[in-house]
Amino acid sequence: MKERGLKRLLIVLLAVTLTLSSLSCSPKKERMFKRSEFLLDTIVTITVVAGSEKEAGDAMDKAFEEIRRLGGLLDFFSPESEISAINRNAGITPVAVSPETLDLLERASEVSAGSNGAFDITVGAVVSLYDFHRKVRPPDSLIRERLPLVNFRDLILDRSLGTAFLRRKGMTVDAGGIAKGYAADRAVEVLKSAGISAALVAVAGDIRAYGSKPGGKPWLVGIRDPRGSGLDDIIATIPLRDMAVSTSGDYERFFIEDGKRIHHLIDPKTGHPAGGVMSVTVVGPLAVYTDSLATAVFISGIEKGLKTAEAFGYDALMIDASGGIHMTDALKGRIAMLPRAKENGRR
Amino acid sequence: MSLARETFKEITIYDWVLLVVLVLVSISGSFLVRGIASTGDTVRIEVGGKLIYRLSLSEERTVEVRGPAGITRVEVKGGRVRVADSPCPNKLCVRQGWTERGAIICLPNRVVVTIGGDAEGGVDAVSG
Repeated sequence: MKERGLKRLLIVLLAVTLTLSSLSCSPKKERMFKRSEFLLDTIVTITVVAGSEKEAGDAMDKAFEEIRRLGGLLDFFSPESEISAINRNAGITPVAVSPETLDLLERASEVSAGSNGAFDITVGAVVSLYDFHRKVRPPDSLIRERLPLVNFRDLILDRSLGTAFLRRKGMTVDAGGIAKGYAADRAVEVLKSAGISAALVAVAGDIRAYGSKPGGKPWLVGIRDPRGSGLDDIIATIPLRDMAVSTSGDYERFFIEDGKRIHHLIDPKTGHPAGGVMSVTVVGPLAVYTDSLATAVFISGIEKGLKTAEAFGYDALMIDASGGIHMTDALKGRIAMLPRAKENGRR
Repeated sequence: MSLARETFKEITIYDWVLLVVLVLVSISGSFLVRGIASTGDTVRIEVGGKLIYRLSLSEERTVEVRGPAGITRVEVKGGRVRVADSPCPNKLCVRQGWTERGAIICLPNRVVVTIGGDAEGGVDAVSG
């Protein structure tokens, strides 16, 4: 009797061992999880590497919530935002703002000063004269009238009081050219705090990535062909290791008038669209800078643009109006240019 | 007699059946876990972040999804996808035409059409 029981026990043990070993045969493998939401008036996609859907979901919930919160503070079109409060009180009084808003405005001012005004968060007074939807371009006289209202030096920030003040009535700040990068950086901080070892946050084309994909491969980002037909027409790829990348182009918001392309990257000094460049891609540690510098470099033109990027310790790829490629030295080994699918002859 | 030989003599057919069943169950476990892989021929259509359709790229189909601006019509044919019609002002999504990879987005109607799963040799995101 005893022997029989022992034999049964042996067989059951053998079967149980087989079952257990096959279950642990697929160990807690890290996988990629992706989620998109519409925030900041655009599509935000977060990809994380995690061991479980729950771990990924919890972290992504927090990251999206942070972006949503920032959107509330910075939304130009929302009367409740801090940006709107600053604009309403232009020429009247300083407005108390949260540390995040102040931080963003300080960095905007830093990029403005460092780019000699090529990036200017107060350029809205002139850009608002254009309507890219209805294809409206303002007359030169109106632009000249409004240009005095464009001056980042008239945005007074007080760190100790935590206030922001636009000196002249009619001036506006619009965080559109820097908020997406800022949000991507904040989302990354939230993901890191949530214990995620690797992630890619894409706020439309403003991207920040850290860590490596499963298998140790770097994140791979494509750069859009400025004259391609859609998002998957890419002209180059760059591996991202703990880096951010942003692209500004003359194809994002534009219309053609009399054979000329009227686009949204308005030179704060002239009030007209900056010429000579089709797109600029900036690469570097923080998305808040790649976002704002992409605009600054675009407006500065090829020579000044590359120098501006380097002055900030960032790198840039510029495609000029003829399709010519220019880049800072450090990018020359890292960017892989793809054969252009389409002929570049269009305006 | 040794314990081993004794054991084998005493094992009944039911014991063998039990053992085979257990082995089969444990082997099939590893197949199931590996099966949730991302395929390159899935089309996902999301509206406002919610997945509405998951279609196969190899099956000819036309679907309509409703977003805040109206109806967006998506066609799958010959291994390619396109947005046939959408209620947005610029119709950029429609002008993109047929594609077999990447994504087509209609921002005003909150529609996102994605082809394929993770990038294998492709890119993880596009800046621009």
